[in-house]
Amino acid sequence: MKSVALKRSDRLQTQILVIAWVTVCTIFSLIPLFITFINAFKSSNVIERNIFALPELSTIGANISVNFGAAWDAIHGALFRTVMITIVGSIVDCILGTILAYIFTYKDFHFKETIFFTYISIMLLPSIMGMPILVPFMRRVGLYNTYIGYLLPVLAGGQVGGLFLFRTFFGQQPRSIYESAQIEGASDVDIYFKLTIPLALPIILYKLVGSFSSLYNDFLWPQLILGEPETIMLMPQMLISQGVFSKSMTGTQGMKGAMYAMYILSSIPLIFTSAISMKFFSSGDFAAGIKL
Amino acid sequence: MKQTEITVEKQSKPSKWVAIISATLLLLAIIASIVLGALLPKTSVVAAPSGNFTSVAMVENDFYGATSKGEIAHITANEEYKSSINLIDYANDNNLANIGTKTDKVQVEPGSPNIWATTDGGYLFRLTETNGKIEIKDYVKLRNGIYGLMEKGDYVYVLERDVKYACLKKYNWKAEGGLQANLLSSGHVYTPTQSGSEITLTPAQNLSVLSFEIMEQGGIEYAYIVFGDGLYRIAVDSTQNNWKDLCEARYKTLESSSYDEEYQKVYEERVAELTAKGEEIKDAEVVEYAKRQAKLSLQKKASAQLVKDYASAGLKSYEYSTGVVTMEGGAFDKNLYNLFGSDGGVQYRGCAYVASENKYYIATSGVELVTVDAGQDFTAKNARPKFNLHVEQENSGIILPKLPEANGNTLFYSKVLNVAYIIYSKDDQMSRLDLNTKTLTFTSDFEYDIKSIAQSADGETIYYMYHNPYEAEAGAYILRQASLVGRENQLTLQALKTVTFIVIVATAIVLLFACLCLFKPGYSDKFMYVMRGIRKQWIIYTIILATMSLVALFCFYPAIGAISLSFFDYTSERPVRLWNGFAHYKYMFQTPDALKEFINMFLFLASDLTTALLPPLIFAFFLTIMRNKSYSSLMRTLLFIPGIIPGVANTLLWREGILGTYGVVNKLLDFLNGANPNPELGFLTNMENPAMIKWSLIMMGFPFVGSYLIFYGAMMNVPDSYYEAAELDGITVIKRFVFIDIPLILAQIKYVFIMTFISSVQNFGRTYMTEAGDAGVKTPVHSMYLYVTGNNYGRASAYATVLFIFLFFATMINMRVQTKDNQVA
Repeated sequence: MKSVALKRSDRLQTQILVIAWVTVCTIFSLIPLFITFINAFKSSNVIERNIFALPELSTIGANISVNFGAAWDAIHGALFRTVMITIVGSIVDCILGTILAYIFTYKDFHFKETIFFTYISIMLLPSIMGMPILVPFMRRVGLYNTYIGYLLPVLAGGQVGGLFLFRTFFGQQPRSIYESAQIEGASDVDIYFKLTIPLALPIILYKLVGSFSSLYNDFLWPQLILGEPETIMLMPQMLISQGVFSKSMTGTQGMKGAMYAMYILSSIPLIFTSAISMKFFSSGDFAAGIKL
Repeated sequence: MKQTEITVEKQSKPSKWVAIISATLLLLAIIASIVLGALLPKTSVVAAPSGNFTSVAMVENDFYGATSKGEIAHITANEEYKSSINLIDYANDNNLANIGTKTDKVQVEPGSPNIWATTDGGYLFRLTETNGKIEIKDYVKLRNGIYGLMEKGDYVYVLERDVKYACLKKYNWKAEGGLQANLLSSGHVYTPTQSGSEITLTPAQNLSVLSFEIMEQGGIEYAYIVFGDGLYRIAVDSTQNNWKDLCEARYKTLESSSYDEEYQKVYEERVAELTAKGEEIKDAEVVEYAKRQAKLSLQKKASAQLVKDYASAGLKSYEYSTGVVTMEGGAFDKNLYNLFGSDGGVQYRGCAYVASENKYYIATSGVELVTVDAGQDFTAKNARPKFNLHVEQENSGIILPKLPEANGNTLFYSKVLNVAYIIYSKDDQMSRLDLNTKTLTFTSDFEYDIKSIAQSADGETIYYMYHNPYEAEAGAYILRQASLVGRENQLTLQALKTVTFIVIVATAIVLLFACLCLFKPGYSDKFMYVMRGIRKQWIIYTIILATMSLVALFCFYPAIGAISLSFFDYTSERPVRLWNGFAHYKYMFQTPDALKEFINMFLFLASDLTTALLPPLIFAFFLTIMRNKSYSSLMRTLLFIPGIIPGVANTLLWREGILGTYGVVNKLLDFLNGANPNPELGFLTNMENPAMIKWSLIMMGFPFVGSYLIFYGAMMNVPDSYYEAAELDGITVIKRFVFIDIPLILAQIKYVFIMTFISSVQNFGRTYMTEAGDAGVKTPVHSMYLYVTGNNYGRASAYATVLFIFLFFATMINMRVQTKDNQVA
């Protein structure tokens, strides 16, 4: 390490404050997770008595089977469904986004800028905007309560997000690579699959992860369009199950432990996305690209 | 672009031909659309001579209409007024008390000279028309108007409406002395329920009567009353259902003979009682009390007398105030008096009695057509054959065609032609069922909120009472006339009309370009150049067309649609666009509750922006100046972990585990307060306290490290030389933060600002999932959600539009500021 003069911020008092502040904030941020973990292994009346208490070792086995059993019964259908649909949705999003971005980066054609602007302009429309129209529209065309009906509007918006992101990225790649491939006689399909996609894999992964978690977390649209018990998505289902678990029904205790177990189960798919984003982003290097 | 060389060609000939052909096509398409427009069946409003029509009765192809101004008018098929009479004016001239303000019903039996009309004051008139003049022949005052009426020979049967009762009356209208003098029988409609060996009779009230028929069976005259909850079959001359009148007669006798005596007794008792208690005696109060008690006591006596008189007939008790009767089970003849309930919780919606089959066809809320045989043994629980309206099926020899999917259908019946009309609430459609042949004549587009339908004898026109809150005053119906000619082809015609519309648009576009090529110098070459480009890169345009159509259909169309729908009333109960101007917007900005939502929105917006910027900025800054890099890295890694909890789970978790009744914060508060906890302070516990709820919602997500990583990354990218130079000038840490770091990462700050802004306004889970909305702390987006799920799409669209406009301008302004800063930097 280079020996530089001690900066003002390196003074002991400042560093103590900094460490203390960062530590306290981090601990506070972890409290909800901590609470979730300890209470998923406790029974309802123990939770009501003292939410901070650590689970008792003697009852842990029974509580796991009761809490996680109830939570699993309540959400596993919705969980699988949501993961499958969300994976399909985010992959199609990326495919459409990369194809569009490829066209808008490397191709010249009439009305290119006008068309591009038309795509981008939907980013100014809040997602809630069309819902009063889309819901009756979907009913009318028979797509209400179908996965296609759920996915189509999601894809329509998602591809534009992809286009915007990928076009910026493709634009930053040296154009000479593309041109030399073209001179070698490679077709657009070849270039797309063998050059553009491999080069853009990290950013595609970023978009995949982003699309996945935003679709997975979405509540309003699935709540409106997929209402039946056979099609309901995870987030609306969780709200319903929360109501069942948290309230004491006709004198009996609610199942507060199952509620926390449900949070943990619903977190499993996001462990992967969080791990990926942690690997890519904990350095903060991406921030330079985030501007409007 | 690469191609710079434009090949100059001569004025191309094809464009001339294209122009001629497209112009011809356009002309043909326009003519076709006009013809199609003329072929499509028409509906029109029939204006009443005064006020609105309240009811109509068809006689051949003419009809009699009752109006809200008291008129009964005879109107021909060509909408000419042949004659009319105003019953309200007549009543005022003849000093009839409590006549009301309008005529509310008119009815004519086919083949009868009589026109029956009622006023909302409860008068029943018998009118006749001779030589183009309507005359009043007779009238009688009923209690509160009628549920239904039927004329049969010399008799007229009336189902009278009373506040707590429905009363069946039979009059002889032909006999000397008229209606008033010839009341032949009067009995009430009771709902019998068996309890043990006893039967309880509860008076029917607020019946939604769908059909009222008098039929003879085994020598007994029965009234069949089909209503929302089932079918009553009551013998007209029953002695089992007149308890109210019998008891009232006894009360009247008692009142005239012993009221004064009773009153005196109660009065003295009360005075004695008050004196004994040592309370002050207020004469007016005691008088009131005595009057009331004397009446009650006489009513009790009358009831007791009635029970005594009819004990042999099986009467066990009679309660004067409610009219509830109990009888011995054995004494009650189920054959004379029965209720045949609609089963399975369905409601009857509309009904047709087909005399030739002696059968009822009843449309139910369960999307079924139930048949009830009027001649069956009503004392037994018989199964009713049902038809699912969705499925073509054969049942009891009746084949019903497949009808459109719908729930909430209504059925209207026309005796003259034996046809039934089924109205589908969800689809805005009507089917015409010919019950002679059991076939579906047609299904066509129609209005929904229809009270009644009348059919002309020639079968070409129907008249229907239709409610449109924006065309008529509340509760008022307007009469419309609809031609039935061509209805069976209506859907085809409409499809053709759409096709011609597309053809018109397409040919017009072609014609426009052809003309431009023809007449604008140089345009032809430019056009051909572009067209060649499009043809050469057709793959690109196909991809764009496909993806763009997704965008158009699911982003632009809903957005534009929402803006336009916000000026209409549109619900799933009444799925017709009804213009209402700015009513939704007025509601939003003039209703105090709705305004409060916007105030909440701004409150949360302010708090969200603060918590999304300040704490993360400080946190990120601290991370950058932390000497121990490995500790900083550890903290950053740890902070990724809470990200695994889905957003909804996180909100729910905060609502229950952190801020809930037994949650972390409240347990801590309890602990700090010791023995005397203060429930007022509970976060999200006391749902009565909006301020506390708002605080709780704001504090959700504490300590708000949020998007610190973006700031951290941006701060790490600030060149060290800036800091070194500043250090040399002796700048403090705080000053460095404010004057170097913040200005240099403005781009990221504004990114977070805009994103937070947009998501805060659209954040709906905050009030919805925490149940704060139920406690009165709502935001506009929450209301919008409720209106969408409540199927009030017009109101929801208005909310969406306002939020869009707000976000659009806010984003525009934010972006503007952003661009300027970038230029400075």
